Amino acid sequence: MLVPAPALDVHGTSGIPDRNIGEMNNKGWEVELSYQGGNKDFSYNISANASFIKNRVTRLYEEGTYIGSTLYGRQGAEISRTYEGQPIAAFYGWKTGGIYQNQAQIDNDPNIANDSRRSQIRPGDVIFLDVAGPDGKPDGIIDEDDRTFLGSPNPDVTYGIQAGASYKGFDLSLSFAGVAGVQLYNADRMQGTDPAYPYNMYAEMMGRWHGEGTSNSIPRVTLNSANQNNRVSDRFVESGAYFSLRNISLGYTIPAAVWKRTGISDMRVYVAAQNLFILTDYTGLTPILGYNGTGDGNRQRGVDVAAYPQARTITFGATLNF
Amino acid sequence: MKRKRYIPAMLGSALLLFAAGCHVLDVEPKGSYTTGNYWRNQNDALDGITGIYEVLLQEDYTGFNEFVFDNCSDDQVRGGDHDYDQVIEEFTYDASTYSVRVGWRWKYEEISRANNALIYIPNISDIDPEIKNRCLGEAHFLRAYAYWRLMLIYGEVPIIREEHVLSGDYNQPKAGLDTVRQYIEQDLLAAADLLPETYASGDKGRVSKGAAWGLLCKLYMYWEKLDKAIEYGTKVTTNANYALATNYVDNFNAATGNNSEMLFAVQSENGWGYTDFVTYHAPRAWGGWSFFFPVKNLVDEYETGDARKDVSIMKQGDQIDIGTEVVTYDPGLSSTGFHYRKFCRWLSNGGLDYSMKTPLLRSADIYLLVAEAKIRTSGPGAGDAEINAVRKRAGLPDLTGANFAALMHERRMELAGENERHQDLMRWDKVKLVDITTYYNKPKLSYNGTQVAVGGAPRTFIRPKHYYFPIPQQEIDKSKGVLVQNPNY
Repeated sequence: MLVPAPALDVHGTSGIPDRNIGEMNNKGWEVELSYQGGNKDFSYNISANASFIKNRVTRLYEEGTYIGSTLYGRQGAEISRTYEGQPIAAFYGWKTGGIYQNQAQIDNDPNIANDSRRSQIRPGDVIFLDVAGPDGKPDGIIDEDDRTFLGSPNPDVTYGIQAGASYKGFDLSLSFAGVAGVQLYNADRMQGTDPAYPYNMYAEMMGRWHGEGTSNSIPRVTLNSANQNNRVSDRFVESGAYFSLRNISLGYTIPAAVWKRTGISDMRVYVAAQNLFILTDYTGLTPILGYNGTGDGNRQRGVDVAAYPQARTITFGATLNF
Repeated sequence: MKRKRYIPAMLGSALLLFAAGCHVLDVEPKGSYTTGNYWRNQNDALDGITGIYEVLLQEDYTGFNEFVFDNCSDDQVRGGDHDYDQVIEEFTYDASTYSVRVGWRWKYEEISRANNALIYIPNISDIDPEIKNRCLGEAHFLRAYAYWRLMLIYGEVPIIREEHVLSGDYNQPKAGLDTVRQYIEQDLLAAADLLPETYASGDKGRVSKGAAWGLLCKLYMYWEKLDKAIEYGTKVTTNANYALATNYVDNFNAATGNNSEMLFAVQSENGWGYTDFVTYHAPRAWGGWSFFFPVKNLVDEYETGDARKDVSIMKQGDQIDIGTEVVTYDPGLSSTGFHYRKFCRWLSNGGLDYSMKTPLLRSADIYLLVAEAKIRTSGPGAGDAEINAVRKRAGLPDLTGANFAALMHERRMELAGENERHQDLMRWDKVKLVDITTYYNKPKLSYNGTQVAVGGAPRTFIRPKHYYFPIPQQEIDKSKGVLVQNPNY
């Protein structure tokens, strides 16, 4: 695996060539089943395939080192890091535990017991979990040491179903595709729910915390971000599983007898649709993100920077053979 | 038959081609240089040095971000939409805050380019010896300046010497504070030796002996070596080449920016090579992004008749010439009711004037440092000559027996907005001349006396933690334990 050499910024800004010293492992298995049946007038076929792959980076230059990726947005948020022993391009940030509902909760919270910013945290701010301190044990301070693995953009299962049937002159074919066991990082939502970002906000902010008990998921709207509520955290990690009907096509071959006099040997009319529907719980525009627009290759995947959804197309057509 | 005749002919022509030289096929790659094929002659040296100056244009360095650190002071509040500026102003930043991170690599880029120049220029033979010395002097100064800014912001930092560049061993631990200062001192002494005193008009903007002396004076002040500060500062104050400009405003006008007083400035130029410094200061209504708003406390401190007030500050009712028309300043343009007029310039046909040079070091600063050193060593009145030179230029009457408080006042008025106040207060707090917490635990007020809504709240300065900013966390992580974080972070 070609990895960018660890570039300490003390060398300046010049580019350093990649080195082939990384190793990555993709292990899993694939299954395909298919069945065909029917008789002269009516025939059908169905096949399903699935692949289960586990991805792990087995070696980088040294244990404990990582490959970073492009920073996102105004705050230069670092979302993806690739560590040795973890899947490639994993999400890396802070863990949360709800919203502080009242001052007593803030005063009694062990996560910020020793944090110097405690006096500036107010009810309505996000509870960040104190995962570790400099020595690995929780230290009561929310800082860089509490950043941890949040999720992986590498799907556990990728599957598809193809089906078809034909009856007399009609033919129907369907193609489904789906993905399961994958997380996506909704970076656009991280920026779109940030009150300090000087553009319009997501409508979900109407449900923000504005009094005790009003919300345990959306923090208060404030320009005063001592708690940095919109930092990279598991609030924006969502399941990216989806199931979609990629392609469906229904056609009818008009019997030759009808056309024989006009010189056309056969004609088929059809209606087809692409991306007819997609079932997903993901709240962004589309869970099918494609290659990340930042051009970071495999160092950053599954980060939604407002990827444009694929259009649903319906076409009508006819094929004529002379 | 035919074949036989061709073969000798072909062989013959093949041999000829071979003899004529395969070098026809050798093509030098154009447009990409390595240390192996660059640094050949005077042009390469001059271009290489220009490249070091170029780093100063960077937005994440002296183009803008260095000045964000002065939001910590009691002179100004932040404006603009960089929410991470808030944590700098309120002292709640951490090691991954944007502003703390981004300057680091550009300062080291400046060091890297200077190291390159210092390693390879001495080997160039096809160069005028005077120009060679000048180039080396400039490289020394610019490298010293980068370490100077690193030292001010982070304290102890790794020193990347020429041998580290040649061996590629960049993962160096932090050097102690005194080691960093000594390194800067060496570079500045070398620069002072090699640089000329003045330049002809075509080279204005390059650093001179006076710049090296001036920065040495400053370094010694921060090092608490007051006698050396006086020694080098006096070299500047007694040299006519570095005399104060006739008018205070001359330092901030594009046409006169490179005057005798301007020891070191970012050479921004409309069109090519410009910084957005002026955009970051100008009001939004007139083409800028408005990131710095001076506060009432600063504006009120100007004495009556101080010519610097109108030059430095835009306030209610002021007539501002924005090129296409003359407009009246409305306090609603700013969260404090003020802007820094000294850093807003417009072209005569409209639009911001990017040829305004960003001042980084002025003689006036050195005059006041000399006065401060004299007052602190010999008592009130010892620095009168220097203070009065600065006051006279500002249209103010002379002082006699000026004490430290008078000196503090003069520094604040003269250098408002020039990224000195916060560093000055910390420097004085370290030797217990002031109590910085009393300056920062007061709210910042806007022109009508109300607390500024965004950024006006009182702040807590914790010593010694807040004397220095933390080393960027990414660098600590990447160094695998070699680089250790600053204390208390």
